[in-house]
Amino acid sequence: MTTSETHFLSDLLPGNKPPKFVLGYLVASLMDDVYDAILDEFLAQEEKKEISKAKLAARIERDPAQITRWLSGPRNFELETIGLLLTGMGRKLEVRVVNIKDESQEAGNASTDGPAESVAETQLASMSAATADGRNKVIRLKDMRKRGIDGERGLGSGPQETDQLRRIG
Amino acid sequence: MTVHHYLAEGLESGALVEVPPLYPTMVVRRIFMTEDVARLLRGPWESPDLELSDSEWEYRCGFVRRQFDRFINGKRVGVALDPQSDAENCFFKRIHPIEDEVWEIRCRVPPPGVRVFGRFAETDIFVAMHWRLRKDMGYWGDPSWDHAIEVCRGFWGTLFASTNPKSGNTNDYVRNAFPV
Repeated sequence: MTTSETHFLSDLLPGNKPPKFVLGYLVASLMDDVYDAILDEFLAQEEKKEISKAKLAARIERDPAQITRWLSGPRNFELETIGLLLTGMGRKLEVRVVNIKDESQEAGNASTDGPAESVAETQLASMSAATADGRNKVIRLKDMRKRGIDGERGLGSGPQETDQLRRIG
Repeated sequence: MTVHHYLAEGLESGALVEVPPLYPTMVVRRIFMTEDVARLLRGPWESPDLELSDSEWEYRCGFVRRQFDRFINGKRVGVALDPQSDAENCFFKRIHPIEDEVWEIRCRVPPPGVRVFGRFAETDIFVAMHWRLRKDMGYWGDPSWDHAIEVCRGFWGTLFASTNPKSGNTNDYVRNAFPV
């Protein structure tokens, strides 16, 4: 039996077995960021009247209530579900693996301008160091219309947008 | 006395603890929690479930922590005013009867599901008072739900005297909410 104080305040070294609490936290953050990427895209298109739950449901042949359930919060999405939702919005997912230590360093530097607490930074640094191989993922949503994946015209009808970058961790 | 005075008193007496963000970001929203809830985040993680080891329970609580951070960091959260809503993954759901203004934070993944019960003291300020495993709660109408409300009412009365919890529409509880 352990406590989080032990985990977060110890000087955990890269390559060490990550504490289960930290592992759970980071896995949950992946689910969070995938969900955010999907929801942000949906809301952006909805604002431009390009999509609605009903329209998305019709495009991927699902019940609108199912769309509501999927969009209601982070979950352990099946890859197929992610594919359905994004394809229905004319998007696809690009994933690449990056070093989590670089990510946390970036976050730490950014925090010097804000009111972040040093304890929180220490905790984050410890968490980052605790990952098994120090790697994390960056998810990028790609506008499939740019490449005409859905034939010549592409999916959807809205303007092409800059890629959205989502960082995990 | 305002609700903020009561919160300050709760912190001073040790009845409440504020959840600090793990990420070095601005605190956009706030969660205050009782010692009961704090044990989910701090440990020691003694599994409440015979089918789950302490280690598995610790892993599960890491997900709860992340969910709390999601709220604190100001990310969009799904809010269901209707206890009958079928938005199964929403972050907050108000529980029946709605007049009691008791809400659950729904931590569904991974199993076993956890429900953290509390009330909104103000917009974007949630007071998390106690928690239960979902599988110990039974279906709607089970007395365990009434008990969850009673526990919250009891804590609230002790901490906030006759001050009413926040009520209203979705954005009165949480800014940047996703109504579901």
